[in-house]
Amino acid sequence: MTGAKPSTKVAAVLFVLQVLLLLVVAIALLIEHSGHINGQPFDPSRLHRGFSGLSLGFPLAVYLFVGWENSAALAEEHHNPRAGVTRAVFSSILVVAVLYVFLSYATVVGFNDSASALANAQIPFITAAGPVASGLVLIAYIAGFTSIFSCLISATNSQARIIFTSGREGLLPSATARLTKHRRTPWVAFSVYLALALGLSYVFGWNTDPVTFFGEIATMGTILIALTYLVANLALPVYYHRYERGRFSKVKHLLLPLLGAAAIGYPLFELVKPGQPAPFDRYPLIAAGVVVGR
Amino acid sequence: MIAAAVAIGLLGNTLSQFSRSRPSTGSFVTFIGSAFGGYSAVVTAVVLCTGYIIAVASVVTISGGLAETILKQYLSITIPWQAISAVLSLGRWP
Repeated sequence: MTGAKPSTKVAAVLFVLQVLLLLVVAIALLIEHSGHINGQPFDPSRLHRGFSGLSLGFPLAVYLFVGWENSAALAEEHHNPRAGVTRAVFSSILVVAVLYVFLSYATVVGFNDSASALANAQIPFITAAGPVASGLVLIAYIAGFTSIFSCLISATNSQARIIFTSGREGLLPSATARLTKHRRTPWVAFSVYLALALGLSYVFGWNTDPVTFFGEIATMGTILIALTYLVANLALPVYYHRYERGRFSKVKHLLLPLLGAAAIGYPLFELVKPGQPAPFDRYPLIAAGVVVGR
Repeated sequence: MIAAAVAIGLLGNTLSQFSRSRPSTGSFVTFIGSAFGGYSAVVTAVVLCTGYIIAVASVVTISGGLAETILKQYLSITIPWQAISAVLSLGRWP
C-alpha cells in the first residue's frame, strides 16, 4: 500500500464497511431499547459536573474527529485544491459528526439512559450490543478493528506527510524529507512516525490495559492537537488581514474563527483547571512542557 | 460529541479559507507560520507532530488490544497485544 491514492482507497473501503456494521448494531440497539428513545441525552442540564465534566470528555470527542484535516494535507496532490479541499473538509466533518452523534445516542439508549452503567463499561458500544444478540458483539468488534486500521492508514498518510513537509522546509531534520525512488513516498517520515508511536505505546502502556491506555494517551495527544487548532483559528484573521485584505470577510475571516477559538479554548481551559482526576491533572503540565520546551 | 462537532465545524471554515488562499501539504504548520512567522511554524510543527504521534500511539495500542480480544474470545488464540501492534505498524510501512 504505497502512495496516497491506493492506500486512501483501502481506507475508504474499510470506512464504508465499518459504517455499515456500526449502523447495524446501532439500529438494533434502538429497536431493542425503543422505550428509552427520548431527548434527555441532549439535555445540557444532565451533564455530570456541568462544563467541567464536559471538558474531561472534550479532548476524546475531538480526538474522534482527528484526521478530518487529511484532505488539506493532500492539497498539493489534488488537481483542483481550492474547491476540492473545501468540499472534502465540510463533507467529511458533516458525515462524521452525524454518524458519531447517532452512534453515541444509540449507545446511551442501549444503556437505558443510565450514565453510571455506561461509565462502568470498558467499551460501552460493545457492552450494550451483548445483551441484544451475541452475534452483534462480533460485528461491533470487527467494525471497531476495521475502523482503527483505516484510521492508522489515514493517519500515517497525512501526518507522516506533515513530518515530511516540515523536513523539506527545514523545520525538522532534512532526512525526514527523503522519498522512495519510484512511488515518491516519504519513507523516513513514515518510519519515524510509526517507530515513535509504537515506542510510546510500549514505554508507557506495556503494563496497562489497552483500552484504559487508549483513553489516557488519546486525551494527552489531542490536547496538543487542540492547542494547534486554537492557534490556527487565531491565525486566520491575521493572515487574511495581512495578505488577502481585498477578500477579507468579517464573518468568514473574523467572527467564525474567533467563535472556533472559543469553542476549543473554553473546554481546554476547564480541563487545565486544578481539581481534575489523575492522570488528567498531569496533562496540562506535559502539554506546557512540549510547547515551552521547543 | 455535539460540542466537539461544533468546534471542528468552525475550524473547518478556518482550514478551508486558508486552503483557498494557500493550498499546502503542510496544513496548519504552513498556515500558522504564514500568519505569525517562522518561529511559530517551528513550534507548531513540533507541537502538532508530538500530538499526532501521541494520539496515534493510542491507535497502535487499541488495534493490538482489539485484535487480542477478538482472537482470544472467538478463536481461543492468545497473542499479546504488543506483538499484534508491532505487526500492524509494520504492515502500514510503505
